[in-house]
Amino acid sequence: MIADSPYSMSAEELYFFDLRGYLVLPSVLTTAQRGACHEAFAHEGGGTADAGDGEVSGMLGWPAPYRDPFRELLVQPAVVSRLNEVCGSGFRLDESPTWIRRKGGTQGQPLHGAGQRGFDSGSWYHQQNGRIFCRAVTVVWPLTDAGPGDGGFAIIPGSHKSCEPQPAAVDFAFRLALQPLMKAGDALLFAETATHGWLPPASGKKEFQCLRYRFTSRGNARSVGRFFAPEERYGDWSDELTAAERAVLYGPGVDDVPRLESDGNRTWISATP
Amino acid sequence: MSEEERYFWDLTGYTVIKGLMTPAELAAANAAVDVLWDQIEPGGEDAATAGSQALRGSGRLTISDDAFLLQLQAPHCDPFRRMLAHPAVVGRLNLMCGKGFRFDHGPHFIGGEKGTVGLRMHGAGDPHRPYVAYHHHDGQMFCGGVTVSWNLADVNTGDGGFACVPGSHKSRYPMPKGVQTCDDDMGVVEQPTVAAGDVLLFMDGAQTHGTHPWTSDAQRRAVLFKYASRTSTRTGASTRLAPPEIYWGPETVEGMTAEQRAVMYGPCASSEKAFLSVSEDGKVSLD
Repeated sequence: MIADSPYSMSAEELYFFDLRGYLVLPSVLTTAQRGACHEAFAHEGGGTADAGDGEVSGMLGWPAPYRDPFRELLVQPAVVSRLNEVCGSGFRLDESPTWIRRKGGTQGQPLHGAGQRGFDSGSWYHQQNGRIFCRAVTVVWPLTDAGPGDGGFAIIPGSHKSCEPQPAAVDFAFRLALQPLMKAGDALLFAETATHGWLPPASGKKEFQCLRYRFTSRGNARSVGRFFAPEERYGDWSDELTAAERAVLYGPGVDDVPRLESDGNRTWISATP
Repeated sequence: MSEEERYFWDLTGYTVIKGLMTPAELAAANAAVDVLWDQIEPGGEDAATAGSQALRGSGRLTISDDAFLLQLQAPHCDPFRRMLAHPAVVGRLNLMCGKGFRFDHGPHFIGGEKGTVGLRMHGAGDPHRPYVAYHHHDGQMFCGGVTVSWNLADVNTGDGGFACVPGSHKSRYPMPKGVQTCDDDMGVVEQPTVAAGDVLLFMDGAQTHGTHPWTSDAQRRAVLFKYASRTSTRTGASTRLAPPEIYWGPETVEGMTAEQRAVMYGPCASSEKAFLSVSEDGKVSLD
């Protein structure tokens, strides 16, 4: 995708994101910026960037200057302009950024998202009055190339608008599943509600690495942040309430909070979350 | 929620549960209000009327300190705590907001003496606010924000108080100024009547609503509980907890630029200093 301006979202990009549920911005991160990330990771991330497998977070709180390259990505202008369009002005970081590393031959992440749990108010995609409102947008910064067999992000394009349950048989072999090809330094934005997953690198391929920043719209919460439990939000007096009364005092975000049931005459905590 | 009530709710954006409070519950809640009434400081005259002539009056009589009524000394807190998860309300909110709905802010006490000022009509489809929006998906309704108003006194035709534009939760056009101020409301603004003990639920934020000036010789007395769906947040405790230093902790945000801090606010619909723009040459700055 080529934008008219690196710092504004073109009509073609809007069309593509709305149609497909993702967007790739080419060559947004410089070689020097990627190098700074690797250097910081080697210093603070528990080892060199060439070894290990898994996920690391907490980079925003690393000592200066090692936190700086990760903080810069919070407000990278090409990404801010796109998030303002699809997530809405006032978008916010929902959880700590994550450094993802996957070796060749290891497990990927199965396709998940739209259609698995019914309507998800935390990642809802819709349009109104000519504007996109996508409550959950994830930005992926590949630090290694993601070509065929390299592993990386995969998606079922258009699935962010699906209204039907996802069949159990839908996996990476499904004919509509797609791996967007990317180069290190590109940026990928996708609607979290789209059906998506992570392909592992093929055996013998080098490790796949990327940074993942999860954003959400202003009045929305995807994950559970701080101050979630009633006593954290309101203080000790909430302990005096009944279990049902306490159940409605949890903070915003998706988690296994007590769910209430009612027959109109009494209220009880649901046995199934 | 009966099929008829669900139809009415989807069509108009509000519903009334008749006679939900028992006489004893009503008396207990009013006894608590009796204690508080003299402590209410009237707001400024003509506050929040958007220059309206129709909504003018004397200062508003409200207690909007978050969770204040829930922390009153027993037994005065008891009637309000029972309202939090009342069975009739839970059953409806499970359908309206989805299971796992949450109390977002309030409960607010809204009073009125003859001549108390109104409040401009607000909330509409444009500008669209997704955290309180109304939506249907796979035959199920989802409403981001629902307010439950427990009425402790009668509201008859023409008394004033809560007013709304039925059906406006599905509107996709800006609200005309005359409707906002009620100076030329096009005949679309309605003031529902309720009896003491009735409970009114409305789509707060999605539906256009406001307050007509109070005209009755009797007091207006209503207690409003503001709920949200599981992932939505409006104000209340979220406002207090949203600043980056509180939400993420100082160790994470120390030394950040103002622009970086902007994306670190916790979930809250009303946070200021959280809005960014990008210039043509790629400079990111606060709005």
